Amino acid sequence: MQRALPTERNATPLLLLLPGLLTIAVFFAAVVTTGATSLLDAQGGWSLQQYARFLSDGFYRDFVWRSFRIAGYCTPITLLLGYPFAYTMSRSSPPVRLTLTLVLVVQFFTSYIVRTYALILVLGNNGIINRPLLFLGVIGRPIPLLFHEAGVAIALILVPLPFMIFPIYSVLKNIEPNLAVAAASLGANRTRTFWEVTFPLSLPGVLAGIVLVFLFDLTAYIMPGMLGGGYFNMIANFIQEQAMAVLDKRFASAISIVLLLVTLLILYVIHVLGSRLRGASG
Amino acid sequence: MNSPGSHAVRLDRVSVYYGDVAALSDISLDLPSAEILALLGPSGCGKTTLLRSVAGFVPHRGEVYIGSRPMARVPSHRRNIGMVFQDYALFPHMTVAQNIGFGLRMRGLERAAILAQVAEALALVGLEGLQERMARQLSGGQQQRVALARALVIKPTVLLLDEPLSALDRKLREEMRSEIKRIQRHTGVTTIFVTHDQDEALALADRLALMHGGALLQLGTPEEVYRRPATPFVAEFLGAANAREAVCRELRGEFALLELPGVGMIRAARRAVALAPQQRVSVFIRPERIAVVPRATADPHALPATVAARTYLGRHLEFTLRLEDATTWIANVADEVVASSLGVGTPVFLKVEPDNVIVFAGADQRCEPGSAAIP
Amino acid sequence: MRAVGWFARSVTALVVICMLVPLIVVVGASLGGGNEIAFPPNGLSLRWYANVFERQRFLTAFQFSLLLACAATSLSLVIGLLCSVALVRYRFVGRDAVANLLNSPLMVPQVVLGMALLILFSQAAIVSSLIGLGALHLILAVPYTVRVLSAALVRLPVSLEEAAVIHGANRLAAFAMITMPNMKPGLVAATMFAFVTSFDNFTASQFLVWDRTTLPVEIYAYAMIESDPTVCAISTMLIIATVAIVVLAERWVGLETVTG
Repeated sequence: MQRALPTERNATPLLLLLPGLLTIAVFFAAVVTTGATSLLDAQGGWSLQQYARFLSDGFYRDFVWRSFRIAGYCTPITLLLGYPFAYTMSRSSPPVRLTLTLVLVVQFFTSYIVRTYALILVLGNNGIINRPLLFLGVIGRPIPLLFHEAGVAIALILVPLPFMIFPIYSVLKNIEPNLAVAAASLGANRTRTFWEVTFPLSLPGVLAGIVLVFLFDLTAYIMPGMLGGGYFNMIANFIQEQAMAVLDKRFASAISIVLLLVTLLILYVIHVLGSRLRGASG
Repeated sequence: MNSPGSHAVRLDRVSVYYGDVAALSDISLDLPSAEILALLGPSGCGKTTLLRSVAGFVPHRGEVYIGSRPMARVPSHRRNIGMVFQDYALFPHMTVAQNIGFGLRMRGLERAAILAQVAEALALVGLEGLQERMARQLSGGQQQRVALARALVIKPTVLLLDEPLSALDRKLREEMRSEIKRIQRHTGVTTIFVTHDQDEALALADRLALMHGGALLQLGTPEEVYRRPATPFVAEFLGAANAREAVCRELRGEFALLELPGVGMIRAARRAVALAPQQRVSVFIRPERIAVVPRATADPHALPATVAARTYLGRHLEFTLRLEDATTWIANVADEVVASSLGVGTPVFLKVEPDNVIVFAGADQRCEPGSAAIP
Repeated sequence: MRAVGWFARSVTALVVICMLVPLIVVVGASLGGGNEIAFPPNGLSLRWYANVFERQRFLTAFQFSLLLACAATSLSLVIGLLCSVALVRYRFVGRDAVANLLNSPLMVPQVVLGMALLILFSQAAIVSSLIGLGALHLILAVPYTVRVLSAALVRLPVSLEEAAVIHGANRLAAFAMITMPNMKPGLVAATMFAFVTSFDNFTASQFLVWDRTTLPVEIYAYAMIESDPTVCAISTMLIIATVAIVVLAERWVGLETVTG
């Protein structure tokens, strides 16, 4: 039982927050400096040249469009895979739930590089998808999954699964079990109970998961990098190339700021949507 | 421990403000040593704030003295106070022995001494042998006793109890009530406890402080506060009361004759209230102080009524009586023989001893703290 | 009425397969005797594990990653504790804003964060990877520790600390002896999040590897060039370590704090 706190008038909370705020200050300084760098044109003067360069050229816009496109269709598939998993986890007996949790948490804490690399082995021409299919004569030539959009898409669907599952599971397990019982007592079968009671209540978790996964896919670096082999770069790869290979930090800064603004915009829209949802469901 | 008769706790104009809102305004009181003080009042009246001010958890204006020492510069952990919280606040990661011994550990006692005193404290609260149990495995009643033991083992100058019994069921509550009283008498520790339960306050307290809206309305023994409430709010909060407005018709010796418009006439003992003819007053009469008799011969000082309903409550029967003006009063009749003769619809007389009529000067005196009161 | 329908159960099984199979393939391939990656492995041998330990680059990178992770974890835990106390036990103007501020690094794409710090440190003429990466990992870990520790602290009634104080402990002692032990699951979860966030970090870290590199950077570089099972061996070791930590955490404090 928490007592209501009076508003603090002395400086104790501020002192406690100081180290944390300092850390954030460094972070903000970095972002601001990047913003400033992005406003420098090739000659060193202040202008929006870098932004114009990025936003006007069709070649660069393709990158943006490609990243949005792939994030756009991968996220729903991740949702389709992740929701049933979260649902099963929340409704299973303790041993099953524990197993699923362990598998999920191990995935979550395993490095992206390891997981992506593992997918390379699976998806390659000699991998365990192609080899049996070739052996059985189902296909004549190996399916080109690596170095193609398909491979990257598969990775972008599977790797962020924990980000989809955790929020949904978290909401589902807190839904009153009595609600389902009440619905059943009123005559609803399992499917209707799900669609009319459980699913709507789980929407906040679904929304959170969608946002996390979409942003993950949009700004992914390792997956397109390792699985695309240079043939399928996304925005993040492009930024890194500009900064480290081409050494055009100003251009890279501009693209970064654009990406950051897009991310913030999406987060804001979801936040507003989320409040509406909460307001509507009461 | 203080010498008997000295004041263990003294509050001098203690006030607590949150912004512009006064959670406590100008509370002054003296509590002699070895006594139990109950802080009673509705939610939000400030009783818990007062308790916490004594503990030093709430910054306040005014002075708190414990054992004649001003507490202004003394931090909570040095006030030598023992406290039992509403949720018991036992440390879940520690055993019963570690919980109880915590205060002794803080005071630097040696292990052997701590073990001995913990055993003593457990015996005092009737939980011998539970040293090694984990605190979180105990039942509600057991947790309560351990919390008490923890507070008492340090031989505190003051014991503070914050709604100690509210989380227990009725039977346990009554049991623990007598336990707490027995332990307090045995140890002689000055105690302040907060409660919203009137029966608890009346049963446990040597002294009762009734609070409302941050102010102290009345401080006295339970009997004083019950029979001679200082304000209409006190009269209505503590125990039940039938209230009515009346007019003083005549003063006759030590009695005042009051007319309850449309209902009848009764006599009230005058005591110290300044009453004059034609003066409007408010009258409060407790249900258990009304004698209900079948209407036989005429009686000028009894109120005619009819029995409208009877409810059997085990300990007594509760009668709802319709007065001449069609309003109702409640009366409690404990005597079953008498009660059995009073069926619904029976015409009756309601008689009240003049001493049991509580009178406040001024009309419409309901629930107004600070109104004109009997000193 | 069964609790979970066949559709949910089949999809779940599919997902579990998709999660486990790649890892199994990696572990299997790491035990291969041949020079190329093969699954099932041709012959069993530990030579690729030996290869890992022979490569100085991996060992040095591992040491550095470990050092960074320990530093970032301990610092972010302390900062997280201080901030969570401020956010949970006090009420002040702008409390929600501060909570959001402390969470803000998570809203920025990793690649942007890495590059931003590169630019900042270039301007500040900082050339030490220890400082650069230390700052990066701290910035990445603090949001997690603040969130997890705040959630743990909120569940602890204030009355526990008050009980400790009134019976003789000063506020610091009360915090150390009563509050912290009861935050154990939160502390464990926060430690795990912070450590893994730092140790495994690649995308942002790659911008800041100047005089010293981290293990993920080395692994990535190697994997892009070579095609022998060495990376499988390292990956397997990392997988085993991860599984061990997760199982230990489950035994010790349960995984509810992690799953939320």
